[in-house]
Amino acid sequence: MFTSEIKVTDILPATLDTRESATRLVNILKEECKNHPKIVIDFGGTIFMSRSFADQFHKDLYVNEQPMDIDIKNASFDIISMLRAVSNTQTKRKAIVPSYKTLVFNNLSKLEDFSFSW
Amino acid sequence: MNIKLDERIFENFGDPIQKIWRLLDQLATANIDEAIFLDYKDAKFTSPFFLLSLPLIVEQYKRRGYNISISTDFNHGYLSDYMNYIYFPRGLDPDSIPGDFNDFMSGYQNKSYIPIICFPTGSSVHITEIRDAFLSAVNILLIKICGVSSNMITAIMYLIDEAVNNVLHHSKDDKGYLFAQYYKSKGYIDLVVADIGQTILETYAGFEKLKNQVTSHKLAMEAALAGKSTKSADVDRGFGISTSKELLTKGLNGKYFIYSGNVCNMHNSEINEIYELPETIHWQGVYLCLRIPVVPPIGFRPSDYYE
Repeated sequence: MFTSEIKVTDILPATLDTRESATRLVNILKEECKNHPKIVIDFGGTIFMSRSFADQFHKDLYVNEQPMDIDIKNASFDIISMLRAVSNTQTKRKAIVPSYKTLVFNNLSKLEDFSFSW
Repeated sequence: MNIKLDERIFENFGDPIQKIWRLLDQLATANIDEAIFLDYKDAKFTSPFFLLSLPLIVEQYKRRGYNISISTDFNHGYLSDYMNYIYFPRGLDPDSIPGDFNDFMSGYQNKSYIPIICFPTGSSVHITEIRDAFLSAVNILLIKICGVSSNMITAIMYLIDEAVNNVLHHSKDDKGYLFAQYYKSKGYIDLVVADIGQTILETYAGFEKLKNQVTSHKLAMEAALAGKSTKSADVDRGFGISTSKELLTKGLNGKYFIYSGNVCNMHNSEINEIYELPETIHWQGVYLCLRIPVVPPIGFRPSDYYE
């Protein structure tokens, strides 16, 4: 069989939260890839992918490795957006312009005047 | 030394934080040879921002060799029940729960809060599997409690996961802590994610490329807000704080407070300020408080803030 389909919720929880879980998923994909040239990843039932998961997933899958032939199925708009975002920030990023003021306090009571307004 | 804690914490965002500072200031005068008791038995109204700090302050001082304890009995019945449900002060360790996490957490779906969660930060397969299953159960529970729309599901989970992942990869401690309460009539969630491991400065001190530039808590806070990553010499890490702040304060009109060492940053729709506190008002680790409105502005899309 040329194509193997992996349903993510069979392996991981419905929310994909951590880098470690991304590595676990990619390790399974790599094993599967040894016997199947094409892999379909089914995200049906997955309700969220964190940036950390997406970043690690991207790195483990594509960095310093022969790319796998992968199709993504049933992924929500947010999951695709997250995968695109981490893909776009692997080699470049927008500069973050500092927009904060710094205030120095030697006395707690003066500081409380500020924190009261938060 | 007996320290009587305030019976009432107000809903104003700054009130619990002021009270944490006052407590730290008082404790800074304590003698290591005397027993310290934090007397909270008369508590009437409290807040997640204040409440989670208490066991973590106790633990910080125990690690420094102090003999310190806190009330575990409460005079007001409703507060006593609440404290039991949230597992105050020890928190709930996922490894101690028999059976399925989702089943256990479903016992909270008619509450407006989740228990204090002590999540393990280790990297063994066993620990990461427990943590992933549990974090997922907590995320799903919070969404059920708040009954939010799909774009808010993503936003809330994004904020939680970025904060939790920072603890996992930077605290160098064996546990992180998570606690949240939903205020239905106010329309927001107060969420705290904290650790008592490394300060942000100590994290940068372990990073060869930046350790000579980042030499104070203030510079460390500025570096973290600017997304200078300690995990990579390249540009692909360090998005967590900056994207979370933008999503929460610009996207949702929420409030973001982060505190490490003697420096904090307060960011809301009106201000974005770094405060350098007296050196005695020191948090060992990172203390993060988020006020997350659950009804987003029209047109809000979390993906607009991924960078």
